[in-house]
Amino acid sequence: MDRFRHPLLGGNTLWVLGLDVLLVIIFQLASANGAFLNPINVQAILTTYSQVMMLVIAQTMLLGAAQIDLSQGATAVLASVVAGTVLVSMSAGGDPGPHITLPVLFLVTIVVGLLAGVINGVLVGWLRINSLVATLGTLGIYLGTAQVITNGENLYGVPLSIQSAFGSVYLWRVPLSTLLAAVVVAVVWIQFRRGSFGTHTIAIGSSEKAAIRNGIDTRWHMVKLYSVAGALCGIAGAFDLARFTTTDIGGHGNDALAAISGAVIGGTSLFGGKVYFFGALLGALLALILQSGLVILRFPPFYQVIAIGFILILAVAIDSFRNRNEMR
Amino acid sequence: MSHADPVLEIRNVAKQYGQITALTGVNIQMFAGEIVALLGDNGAGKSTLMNIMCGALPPSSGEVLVRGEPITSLHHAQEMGIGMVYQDLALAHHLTVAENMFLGRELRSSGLAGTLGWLDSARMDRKATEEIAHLGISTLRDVRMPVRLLSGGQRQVAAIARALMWSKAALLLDEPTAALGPKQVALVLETIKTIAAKGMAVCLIAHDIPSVLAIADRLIILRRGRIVRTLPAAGQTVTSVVSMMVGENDDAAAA
Repeated sequence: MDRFRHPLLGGNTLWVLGLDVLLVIIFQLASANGAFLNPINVQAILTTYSQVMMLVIAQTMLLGAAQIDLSQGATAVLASVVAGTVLVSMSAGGDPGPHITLPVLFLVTIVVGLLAGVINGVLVGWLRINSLVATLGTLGIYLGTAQVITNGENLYGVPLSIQSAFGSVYLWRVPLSTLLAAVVVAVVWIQFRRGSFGTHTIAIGSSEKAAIRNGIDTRWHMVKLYSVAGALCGIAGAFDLARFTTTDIGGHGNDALAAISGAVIGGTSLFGGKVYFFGALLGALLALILQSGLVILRFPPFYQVIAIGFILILAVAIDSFRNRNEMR
Repeated sequence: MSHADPVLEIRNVAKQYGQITALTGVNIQMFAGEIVALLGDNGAGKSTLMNIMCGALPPSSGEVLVRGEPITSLHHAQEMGIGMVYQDLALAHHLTVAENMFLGRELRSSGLAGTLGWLDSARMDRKATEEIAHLGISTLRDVRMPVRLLSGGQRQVAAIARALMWSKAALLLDEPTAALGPKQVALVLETIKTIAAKGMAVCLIAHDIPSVLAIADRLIILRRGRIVRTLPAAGQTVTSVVSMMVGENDDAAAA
């Protein structure tokens, strides 16, 4: 890997890291009794972050191929609704225990996410529908399907063992879901960096025509890419269900946009070819730090959205400024 | 096979697009070590011919033979050793020179890493460096540079190096000097000469006639889908070539 695409420090990674640290320091100093870095608050941020990590690395890979997925939140909701329904029906005679509920939870969410991704991939890769439009369409279809399944209500009666054995479990005071998310990120990142999957993704993002002329089957690659991205959304759905033991059908409307913002703040280009996983992860963390910090400082939560808007525009401005310099 | 057999032969090729005849009755033989230039006005059929030669476009009739064997597809032509450098170069700008040279044909690591689908970047970098050194090119020192940071001439050379790495019989170049500065043009022409000197048959399309005259051995002039002249480049001038391209001499002869 070359120094221009440094795996850890490329893109905006360093300055976003600096901004993350700065905000943590500010919120810690400004909050009463150092409430920001209180273990309970940090654990809450990390638990939410485990879902965000899945969505943001999925979105980052897609952006690498100049694709986008607006259906991420809907995919996660659909995955959790289907898994929740299966788990509810399995536990009619009582909770079957985590050795059954946890494998079922992850298997069902991953399969549903994967299938949602396959549909997105076929629409974009085979039918050549612009990804913004295709995934805006499937966003409605997946969310609507989830609502049809539950009649628009959130699911209750999901076996509590998924929470007691996973969703509320901490290892060395770190949420288990965050640790699992970190492992998934590591695996995806290494495969992307070391395998031909990443090279072909970046080639498609740089120039789809060039990729085709060099013998890459871009249609098949799109299906693979969206399937992996969909499966990651499915895992986010599993984390959500295990955390609350209920679905959150209305609570994922901003997920895809938050993931895109995080990726772009971290230096990943909207125009394809530039992929910075760690910048994206830190960019997405920025939103969570702001959200939590502003709540603790008793600001209305809307200020977080405004702040993220400013940072997003700043990041894109820096990116296009850099691009202009490179073109010379 | 004797030395005088053609590397690439176009036999009686015609191409129709519906009612429009793009090419008709085209016969060309290309030999090892020779640089052939296809010349002609816009719409004369140069690009169509080149796309047929590389297997990207099937002819309506006639055939293209590589060392006597007819080609059936782009992929087959590549396997037979025909390399094509497109006008837009088909490079992925965010990948390195080496990654571009191995794009779609990456080398895997051995052992467990290979089983996981991991690539052997070190070996690809080394082979790409060797290939470029073999071409006698000193302008591309670091194959780990992303293509977006290269100059136009360096990009052209990278695309040529990639085509050469996978094809050892003939190299086809569509407008290799278009949109380049004089220094970059010299670099590209030098590279093309080196390739021919190593025994490859080279065919190029170029609008830049002085460059063509500087390196080509033979000129093939197309007009409205037909070959109107085939002649040695030696002794020709820009004026004489242009008048053959637009057909002034014929009109004079007819008058």
